[in-house]
Amino acid sequence: MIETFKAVIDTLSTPTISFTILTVLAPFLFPPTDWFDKMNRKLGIWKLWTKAGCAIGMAFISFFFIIGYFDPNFNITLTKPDNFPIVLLIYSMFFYIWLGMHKAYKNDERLEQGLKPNEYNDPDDKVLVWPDLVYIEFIALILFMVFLIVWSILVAAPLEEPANPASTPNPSKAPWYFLGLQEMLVYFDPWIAGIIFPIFIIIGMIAIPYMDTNPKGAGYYSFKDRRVAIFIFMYGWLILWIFLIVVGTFFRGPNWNFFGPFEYWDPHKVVPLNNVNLSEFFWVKLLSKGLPENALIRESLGFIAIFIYMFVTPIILAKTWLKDYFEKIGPIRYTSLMLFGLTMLGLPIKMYLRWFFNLKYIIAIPEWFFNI
Amino acid sequence: MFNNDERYWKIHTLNKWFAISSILFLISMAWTFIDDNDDEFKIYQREFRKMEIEISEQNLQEELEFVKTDRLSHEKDLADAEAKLNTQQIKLDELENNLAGLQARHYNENMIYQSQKAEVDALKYLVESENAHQNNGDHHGPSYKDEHVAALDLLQDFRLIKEGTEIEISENEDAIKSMRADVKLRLDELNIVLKQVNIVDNKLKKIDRNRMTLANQVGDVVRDLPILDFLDPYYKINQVVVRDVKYDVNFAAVPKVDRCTSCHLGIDNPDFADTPQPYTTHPNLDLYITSASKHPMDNFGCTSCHAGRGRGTSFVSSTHTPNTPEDKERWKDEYDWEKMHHWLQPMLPTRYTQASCFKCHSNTSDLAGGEKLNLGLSLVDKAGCNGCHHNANWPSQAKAGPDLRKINEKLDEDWVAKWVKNPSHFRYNTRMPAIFQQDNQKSPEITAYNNVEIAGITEYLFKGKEKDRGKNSNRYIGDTENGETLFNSIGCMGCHISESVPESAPAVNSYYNLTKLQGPNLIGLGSKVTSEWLYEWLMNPQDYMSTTRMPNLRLSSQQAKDLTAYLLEHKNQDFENSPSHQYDKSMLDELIINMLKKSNPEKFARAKADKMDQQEKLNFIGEKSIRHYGCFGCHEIDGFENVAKSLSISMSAIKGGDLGWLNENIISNEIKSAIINAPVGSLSKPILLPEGILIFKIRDKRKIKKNLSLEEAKNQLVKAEKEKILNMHSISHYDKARRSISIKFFQ
Repeated sequence: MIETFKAVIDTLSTPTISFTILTVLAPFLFPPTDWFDKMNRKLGIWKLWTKAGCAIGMAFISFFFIIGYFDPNFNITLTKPDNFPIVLLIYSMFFYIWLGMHKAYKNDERLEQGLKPNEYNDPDDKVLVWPDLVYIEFIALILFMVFLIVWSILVAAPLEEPANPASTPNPSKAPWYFLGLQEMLVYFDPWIAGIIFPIFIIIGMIAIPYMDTNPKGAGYYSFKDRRVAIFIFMYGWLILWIFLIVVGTFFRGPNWNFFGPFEYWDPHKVVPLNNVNLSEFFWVKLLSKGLPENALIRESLGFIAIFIYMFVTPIILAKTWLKDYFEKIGPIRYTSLMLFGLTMLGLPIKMYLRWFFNLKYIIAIPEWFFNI
Repeated sequence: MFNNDERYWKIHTLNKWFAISSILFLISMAWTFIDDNDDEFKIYQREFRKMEIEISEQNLQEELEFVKTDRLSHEKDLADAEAKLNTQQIKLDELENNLAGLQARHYNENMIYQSQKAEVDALKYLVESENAHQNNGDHHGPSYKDEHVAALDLLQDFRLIKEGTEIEISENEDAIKSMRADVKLRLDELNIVLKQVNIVDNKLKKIDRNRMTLANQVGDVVRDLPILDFLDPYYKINQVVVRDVKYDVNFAAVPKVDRCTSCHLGIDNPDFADTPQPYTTHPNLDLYITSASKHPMDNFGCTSCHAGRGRGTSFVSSTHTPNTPEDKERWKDEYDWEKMHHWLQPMLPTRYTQASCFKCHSNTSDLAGGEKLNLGLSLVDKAGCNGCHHNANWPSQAKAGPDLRKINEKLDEDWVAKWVKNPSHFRYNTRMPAIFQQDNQKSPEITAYNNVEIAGITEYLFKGKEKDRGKNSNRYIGDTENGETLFNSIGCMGCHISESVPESAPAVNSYYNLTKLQGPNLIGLGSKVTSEWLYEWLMNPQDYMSTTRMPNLRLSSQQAKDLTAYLLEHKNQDFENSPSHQYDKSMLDELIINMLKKSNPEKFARAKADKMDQQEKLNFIGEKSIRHYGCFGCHEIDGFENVAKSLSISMSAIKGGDLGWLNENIISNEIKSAIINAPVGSLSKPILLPEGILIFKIRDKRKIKKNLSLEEAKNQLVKAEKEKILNMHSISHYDKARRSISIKFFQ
């Protein structure tokens, strides 16, 4: 029975399936619209944010890791000293999101009853720095020191042999905080995945307070008052970042092939990578001509597609679905929001284009190192 | 100060958690100290200390035994001398009292003298400054000269007194010394006898806590405490830094640091020869480790011979390698042993230790102390490994197998084909590997291919050679019995055996046995060679194979005939009666096409194959097979390569003259037409060139399709034409210049 469980997990964790499941699941977990909210209540998904839900979630994560510890293949990845922080990451990610959502739901209940949120009843002005702030910081510091000391005594630092330029490790993985980007490299050109996306992520996060004009939800936990923003952020954070790190840690093996968590990492596994550029689709397959000499002509379809996606879509949206929103926040904020939002959405879109159409690049101009 | 309700948290809870966390912190700190200081090597060092004490005590007992009789007599002498001294004790006491008094007096007299000296010096200054400023007229007061002289006189008196006392003291001391002299002499003699005993005793005092004074015992504990053990610990890492022997870490070379002696404490002490590892002595201390040996530890360290991680200080981290599977299991149980994957040079298991000798002693296969290595190197030579696997450190001296260039004089094609197919069928302990009939060649397809290859190889070996095996006439047969006697006596058995029972043949597992197998096992000769050939061979081996190791035994004609008779008696009926080699002709065609397909499009391959006749096909397959299976690694085979290797002055000589594929356009004009028009596979006539004489053979020709656009083709043609015209111009210009140069002589 365990074997079937493992086989199921192995199949479910292929990026196509797991990513899709999570993308579909995300709006049900963090419902951004009324319809999703209705579904959420009907299916009782909101119960995840109760104390029982926390216990069940932690238990499920532990159950998975315990099963994994006794599997010879997953054990190797799980017990690597480098990967211990990822285990901590999964637990703490779940806990802190649960904590936030739990408080948010509690407050939302109160707000529905017309009461003020919980934070309103806290002593509002002052809390004494000593002892209330510094004393607990001190205790937390000591406990954390104990944790680090015990960790360092029990687990030796994972030192390896002197770097040998003639022998690269396979797989050659980035540190965990960059594994999300390394996973994006599968779908994007290094310029995009390694430079543009990180810059957009950083600048985008800096810009959030300036783009978000919602006065509600400041100073107290609430989901209802800020559900669209929370949904967008949770999708980008949990699915597009944390999940990619988990994929990079546990599901990517030699030659960056996909391996289910309980699969043996076979370095000889060969997967055909027959990816085709958009220009090749158009000129060679559709029109049966050769590729044009001039790069701009060749990639004209790609340019048009990108243009429509980045420039025309926002304009259309501003006139239709997002009309109120556009009027509320003004053109500058709207443009920044569209820029960052559409770029972020571009990641899953490109992933699906790759999975379903074997699309390599929308615009491919290797002569100028310009590939999207 | 504060009311409790002003605070956000309950202070008692906070205090409780502070207490808990502090205790936990204290425990973790203590754990850190313990973890840092409970090194594995200390366990071994403690055990070793106990063993050392035990062994030293044994040594002490032995030494005491050894000096027992001598000691008694000397102790008796000492006792006598002491007794004698005791009788004179009163006088001695008197002298010593006297001495004490004299010394006290001397102290005072010295003080007086020194203070007077100071006075004199002060006056001296005054006198000298007087002399110096005499002409200034600044002098006031009386002269100091008289005072100075008086003080000097006084000083002299004090000095005499002091020196008098000193002389008295000296006399007194001499007297005491002479009284004690005898005792001292006896004591010295006793100590000489007890020298070794004292050495061992001192050692024991240093290492055995029970023999230490209280102060030393305390020090013995304190010196090993955490933190304080930076000063002078008892239990410490012992290391040898070998500056000149480096470990390569890819971007640097760091000196080897060997900490093996932290646990292997008895390695250089012959007393520990019977103790278990890791305390046991190194074998053969005359050759290794000691400073008088050829490999002193300070110059070589340990890892330069044994490899491993010298910087490791525990059993697992030093990358010890188990020697047998049983050892491995035992180590896993006892030491939690696991292989350290990231150390690139794990320790050599003990059965391979001699491998390190080769690092420095790489020019001989006869190293004293390296028997296993010697056997290995000799086997490499004997089996001819280096014929195919080039090894720069141990190059091959000669081909391992016999020369096949005159094979037509010795064997017939039938025999050769059967031999190639299955050598051990003829001679069970031949060194020739079984190339065919392996487990993965058993399928009918492969078998058919192989049969074709064997036929091809045989054909190739005999190509162009007339059958000339010699006659099997009785003219060359002598007396068999005498032949046997000769075989056993004149030296044949120094290199050959004639043993048809496999179990009785010497196994190839020792140097000595290798010497018996220098030449082949002389069985089955009756089914192999003719009497004429064997006779001629025995009379003069170098005639058939100039590089043979068989010496010319300077046999008389009759002796050779007798030996021939004896040797040809032995036949291998099995081999003779086995059917002649057969092969499938259609397989031959298939194989030819498969081979040609590798460098030609299929259509061309088929066309070429059609043009070849049977013999050409077999020769083609033969050459390819010999190349493929590497026969030339052990045998000299007639072919292009060897002539080129030995005679060519071109750069391609090393590769046997192989120039690979040549593009038409880069061949120079003089030889272009010759090359283009030469048929494939033929040997050209010698062509005279300025650089020398060129002989070539075309192995194959092919056309490569290249997508030449019209532009490119035009450009190529234009370029070719330009080159031709330029060449013409340059030649004519050169001629003109040559003719127009005038040389004038000046006298």
